[in-house]
Amino acid sequence: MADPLLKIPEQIETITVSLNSVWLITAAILVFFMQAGFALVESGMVRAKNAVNVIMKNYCDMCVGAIAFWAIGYGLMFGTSSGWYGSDKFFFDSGKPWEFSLLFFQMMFAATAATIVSGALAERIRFNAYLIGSFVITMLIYPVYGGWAWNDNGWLRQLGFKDFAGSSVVHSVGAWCALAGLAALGPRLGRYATDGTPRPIPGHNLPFVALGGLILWFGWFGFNAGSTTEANADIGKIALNTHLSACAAATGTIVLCNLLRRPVLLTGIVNGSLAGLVAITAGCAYVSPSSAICIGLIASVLVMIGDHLLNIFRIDDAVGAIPVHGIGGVWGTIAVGLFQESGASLQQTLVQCVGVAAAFFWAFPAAFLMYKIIDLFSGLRIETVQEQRGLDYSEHAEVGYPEFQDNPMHGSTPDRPESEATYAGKVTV
Amino acid sequence: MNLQQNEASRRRRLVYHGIRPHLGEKTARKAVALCESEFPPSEPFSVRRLLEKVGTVDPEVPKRFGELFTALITLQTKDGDAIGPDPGSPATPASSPARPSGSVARPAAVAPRPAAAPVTAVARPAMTGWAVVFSKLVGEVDGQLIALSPVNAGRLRAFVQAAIPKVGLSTSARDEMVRWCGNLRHVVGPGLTADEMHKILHQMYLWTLDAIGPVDADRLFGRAIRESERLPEAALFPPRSLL
Repeated sequence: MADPLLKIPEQIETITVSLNSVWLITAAILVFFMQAGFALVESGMVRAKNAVNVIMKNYCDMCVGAIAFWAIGYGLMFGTSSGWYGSDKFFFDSGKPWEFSLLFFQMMFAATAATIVSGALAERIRFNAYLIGSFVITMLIYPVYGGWAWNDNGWLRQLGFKDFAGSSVVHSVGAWCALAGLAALGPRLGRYATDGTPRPIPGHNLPFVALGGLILWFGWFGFNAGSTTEANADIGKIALNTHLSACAAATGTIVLCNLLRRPVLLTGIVNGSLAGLVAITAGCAYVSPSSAICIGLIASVLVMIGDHLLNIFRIDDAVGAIPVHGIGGVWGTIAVGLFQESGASLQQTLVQCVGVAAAFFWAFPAAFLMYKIIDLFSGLRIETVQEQRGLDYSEHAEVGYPEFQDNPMHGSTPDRPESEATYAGKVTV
Repeated sequence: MNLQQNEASRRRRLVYHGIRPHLGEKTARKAVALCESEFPPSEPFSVRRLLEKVGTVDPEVPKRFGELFTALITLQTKDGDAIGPDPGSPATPASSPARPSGSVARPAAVAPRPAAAPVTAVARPAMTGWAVVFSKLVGEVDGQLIALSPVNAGRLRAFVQAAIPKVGLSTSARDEMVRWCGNLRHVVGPGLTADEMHKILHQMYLWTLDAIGPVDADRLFGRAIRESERLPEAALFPPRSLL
């Protein structure tokens, strides 16, 4: 009879894997819940006539993105790699139980990268064109860069690039894809006066924005702490850093607004805290809590500068995704080299800068080319008359608030001849 | 336009635009008529005395005297063009060729009315339900834009005129819109199909977006829709479907 003591290491191993899996799946579910946060933030920040469209994009990009990532993206990112892209694990159907957990967790990250684009391009992009874009982002653009940074053989990782939970891998890549989409699409009608003066287009539901921001914050604990991929003691510090950075960024926004004698806007606070979360994502495991506060504070300044720059260049980012995820991501990635607990390192900072540049020079041109190709074949931007009526009606034939929506374009056309109707007959509300 | 005509026009605008928002079109027209008969341009004009006169034909006026008095006094501080378009003299119908051309308010940016615009000589198609609704919508949008700035009328028309060749209108619709672009008081509507009306309104929307921004443009069109939905015709010809 075998000695039961001999089985103890094996049992410990089994328990460890089980606990790690439980933690990873729990974290993945938290990251999945961030989709709800994105949906609320983004739909709250757009006009009522486009609310359904924005939520639909958030809902559906996750669906097509999951399939694309499972089929191709995961293999490109985590397959056997020469340093540039993985070449196996496509259509992942069999493997160790642990790998299914990892795939599930990474799938949520891929969906997050894709959904960042949704808010920036809101109120003007065709629904189907957007979904094709999301498919390509999660299938190709995100995983290739993710492989460089996170695959054991990725060239950035070999250089020593550190991006713990994805300030660059997830957030910057998503933001650069959004920037490319904005360059291809142009601003919303009337967003800028002929002399270039920006005209505010306030969101229709600020409570949604606040609630969405809090949900994102909640999910971020899974995003960062889950990136340990194991249930170890580090998750406490990671969660604390995540929280402190967001708090510092929100506080920084309040202080900055007061110093500049500007009103303290809810959207500003939410975007400020999100920038803090994005910025700490890369270094949450490598920096001290006091450094996390510094990173968050600086992120709040940068996001305001980023907002200003967008208006100067007439880039109409409907929700502020570029400053929050793009600039916040760049800062957070570089900050790892400056604030890591082992001390500031010029070499590490340079490596971080290489990673930041690689993210931009890969994601932006690739996404721009993709959007141009989509534009060529299926059209990217909706017609002006559809923009007038709102995308809820023109793209989905339904509206978010039928009882009280004060939308001049919404109504039935029971007596108008079909031949004369441009949108009559599409739906009868 | 001589000084007296100018003063008469200014008083008509003042009385019409001061009273109409409070007591409606009918009372405003009556008040304009009373103003013309009781206060010739050569005589001093008194808001208080005018309201007392109007009170004899509309019992609502004494009840809302303070409100109306304030509205008229506020408007009195403005220039003629800033008050709003001239509703026209009740004694001289709009289409009458005998009407002095200068008695109609015309913002500076609007092209002068074609000298020989024989409105009465043209056989115009009857106003269909769609045409009534469209006319009301255009009028409301136009009116609100003019209320924001009188120069808007001319700029809007210039934009629409430039867009006419591009949007694919029939000849009759094109002629109708050209007439509207050249004449502030032209009642637009007959001769256009519902689809053409939609195209014109969309062009107006695009101009409004650029002029006042997307949020205000949606609000302005929303108000125009609500006003148009009060028409009896709106039940069968919903204004929203023209947008």
